[in-house]
Amino acid sequence: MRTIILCLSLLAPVVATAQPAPVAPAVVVTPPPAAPIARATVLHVPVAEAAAGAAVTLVAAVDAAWAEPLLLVRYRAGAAPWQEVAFRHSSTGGWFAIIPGPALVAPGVEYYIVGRGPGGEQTHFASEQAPHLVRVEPTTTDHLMAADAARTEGKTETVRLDVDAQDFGNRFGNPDEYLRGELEWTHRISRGLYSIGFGFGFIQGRTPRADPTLGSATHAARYGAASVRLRLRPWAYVDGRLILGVSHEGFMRGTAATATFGKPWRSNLAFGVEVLEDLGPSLSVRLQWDTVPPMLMGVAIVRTELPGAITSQSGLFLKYDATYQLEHGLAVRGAVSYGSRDGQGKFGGGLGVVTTF
Amino acid sequence: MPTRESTMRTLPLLVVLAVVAVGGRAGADPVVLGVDGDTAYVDLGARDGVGAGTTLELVRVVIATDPVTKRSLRDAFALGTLTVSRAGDHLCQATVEPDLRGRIAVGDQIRVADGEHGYADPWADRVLASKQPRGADGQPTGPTVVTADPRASASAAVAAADAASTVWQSTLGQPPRARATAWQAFLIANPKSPYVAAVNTEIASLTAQADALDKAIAAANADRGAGRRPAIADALAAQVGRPEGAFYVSAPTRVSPHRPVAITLTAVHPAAGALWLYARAEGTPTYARVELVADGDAYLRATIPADGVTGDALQWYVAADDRAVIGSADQPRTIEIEPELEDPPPALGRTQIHTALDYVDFDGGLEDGFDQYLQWEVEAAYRFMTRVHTARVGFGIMTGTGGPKDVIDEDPTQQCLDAAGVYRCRGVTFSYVYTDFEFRPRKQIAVMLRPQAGLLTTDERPDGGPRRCGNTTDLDGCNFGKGYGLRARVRIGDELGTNLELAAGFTSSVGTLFEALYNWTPTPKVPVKLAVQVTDLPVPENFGVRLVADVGWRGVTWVYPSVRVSYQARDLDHVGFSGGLGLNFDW
Repeated sequence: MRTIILCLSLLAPVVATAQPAPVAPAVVVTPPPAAPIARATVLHVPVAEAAAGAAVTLVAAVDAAWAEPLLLVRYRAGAAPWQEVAFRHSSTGGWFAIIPGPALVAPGVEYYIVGRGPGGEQTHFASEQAPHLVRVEPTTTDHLMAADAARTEGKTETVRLDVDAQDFGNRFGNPDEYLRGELEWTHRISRGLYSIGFGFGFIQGRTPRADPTLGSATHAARYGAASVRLRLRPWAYVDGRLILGVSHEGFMRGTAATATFGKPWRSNLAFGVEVLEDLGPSLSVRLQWDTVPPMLMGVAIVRTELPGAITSQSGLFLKYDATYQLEHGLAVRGAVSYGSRDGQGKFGGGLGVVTTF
Repeated sequence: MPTRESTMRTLPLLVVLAVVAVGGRAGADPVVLGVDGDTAYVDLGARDGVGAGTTLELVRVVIATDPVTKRSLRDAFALGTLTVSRAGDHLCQATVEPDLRGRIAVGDQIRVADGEHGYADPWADRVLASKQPRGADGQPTGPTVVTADPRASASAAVAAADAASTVWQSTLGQPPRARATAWQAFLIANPKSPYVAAVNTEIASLTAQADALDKAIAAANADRGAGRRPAIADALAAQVGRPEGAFYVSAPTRVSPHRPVAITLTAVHPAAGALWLYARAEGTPTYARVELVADGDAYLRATIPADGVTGDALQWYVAADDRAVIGSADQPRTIEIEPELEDPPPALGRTQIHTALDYVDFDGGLEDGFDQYLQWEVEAAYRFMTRVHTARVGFGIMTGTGGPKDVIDEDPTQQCLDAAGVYRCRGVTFSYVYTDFEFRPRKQIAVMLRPQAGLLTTDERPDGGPRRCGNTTDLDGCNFGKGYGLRARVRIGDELGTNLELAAGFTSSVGTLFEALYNWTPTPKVPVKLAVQVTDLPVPENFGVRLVADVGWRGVTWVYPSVRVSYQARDLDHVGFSGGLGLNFDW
């Protein structure tokens, strides 16, 4: 009001008279005392964690908000520059500020709260030097995907060629052996569905007939196989395989499954089963270790009826294999095995090559 | 009561009426200028001594001619009254009495019934007063600049007004104290300004405002963080729910390993004394203590160092010196720690390959005896050091000859014939595979379970031997079957150092083995195994005891050979010495 009166007086017409000049009253100027700084009080529950990409709403109760008309959240993701967003007063009485979703990236977003008023900027929670971190933890799957990508240098395709043979021997001197080859293409997805693949294979073998005087029968198969690998846990994988083809008997179906405890590319213990119509089932236990880099070694115990054993079902062999990792995603594999079915044991072995790109 | 709409309709009329009233009424009788329902507008105002509450009379003028004198007679009669509701300087608005409604018309004369009063506009008076600077005698002097030259005086006055106006503009939006300071600076710079008095008044007003504001702020800050916090805590509770006691807790539920973890408390009541955060990796015996440091308006913050964020979970609680505040040592809060998902470098030294060839002679007859066996075994082991601490896969062949020790010892022909002349011994070959899983319920205790299965071939012909049936086409006397078994072991002590193993194993149709094995490393280069075994191998007939000593030489870290000697007996007359070799790889 007084200001208005003053303004009006300033705008009033000035009257010039011939009267003597009035004496101005004495002016005493005293420096103003240091004004106390009014501060708001901000009470909120700091957000400890959030999902990636999901906006975070900060809820606060503010006392003496008039003292700092502008309440700000300063936030940044990683080493990005600080950005700020203002708290808004809700009709429900609370104060809200939203850190937008794009800022919510792993490993987290940092923030602190300041108020701005006549007294300047006041810090209410955390600070630029010691901000509060809203953790954005990647999901296990995301974490594993990143680890896979780092391990494989982003390569997702694998082509594998394996040829293995086993001679079981026979007390009557009849051949009991098989040769098996497979070419398989695998695409890695790295999620719960870890990979999918498709391959072609063949089995060519001879197995003694029931009457030793009749020698051995020739058993064989040509097939295609579709496979999937599931990652149930970071340390547990299951492989499933559907096999369709033809055998010496005609149309052939087959399935296979492997449970791997440990990472397939590191030390692990794997249990496998395969059933091929007309050629019989196989069971295996394989222990792999990675303690001799750059090689992967393994020992497997295999009980098999391949190639469709007639006289005895108890073929058993022990197989040692080593895979040597070369440059540029190329690896070679060699294996030696020893086993028997009916008679003295014989040796077998295998060779393979794997390329990843 | 006139409505807003009617008022808007009436405004143009009033404007016209006002012009007429101000411009043309001097000396004329007041009249009704307009009628709007029960409201009439009259050309009387404050200047005429009319204000709110003034009673007006509606006067009807009668003009008549005297029939005798022919003079024109004029008189006025009051028809009723109106009450002024609002008045301006020159016009007023009056409410018409119900009796007059419909009878009042524009042009009707009006007169003041209760006499004139003096009315003043206080606002206008104050404005007028502010224009009158007071001299030493207290009389208004006005904002004047006096010089001999009237033109110069006028110019000086305009300059003084501009200077004051500039300062005034600069104070807009400033807090009161800053504005007062600005005006004080103005006075210093313009001590002879004609506005000194007004500015002093302004300074006094602004200073009073600033003092009041400072007092309010001081009062607000006085109980900052104490008395006021519970009040806003209620407001916060309405938004996010109730706290735990005096605190809201901000802690993650799931974290990555090896990253520091921040715990923040929001205190709705000021905390008395220091609070401490206690944290440990799940399974470790002791907590590490970190002080919760006050931060900001109402917060306590602490960070668990990265090196403490290991294992499957992080346990924590908050306590004051003498009491638990959040959680407790016995019932801590838990933060899940993500498993280590990155591939660590290969853990060298976790793979072990053992091969052993052991010749066991119970009767001292060596190749001519009937109680011997040869056992070859290869085993690959990897120490995962997880829930399954170690997994092993093995393959073995045991081949030998065995029979009842009394028959063997008492047959004078040394052909394992009983009194009836029946051959009682048999050759045995058992090819087997196994897997072995080791669990570690305690650091110094390991439990190992080993299921195994194999192919069993026996030869009952005296001219056969342990390996005849394996490669002959004459299967007379040969029997083929399967053997299944289980072996369990408990190891007490350091896995890679000195320890004691107790084992019991059984394989159907093959035999039983009990063993106590003492692993000892008197020097790192000389691993020693001492064992005592009780077994009926190679055929389940009579139990015997074996005393075994196995000494290795670890010339290099990754491989060492060993030599084994043993003494075994089924009784004091059924005794043999033998030995074996081993080759062991540590990768």
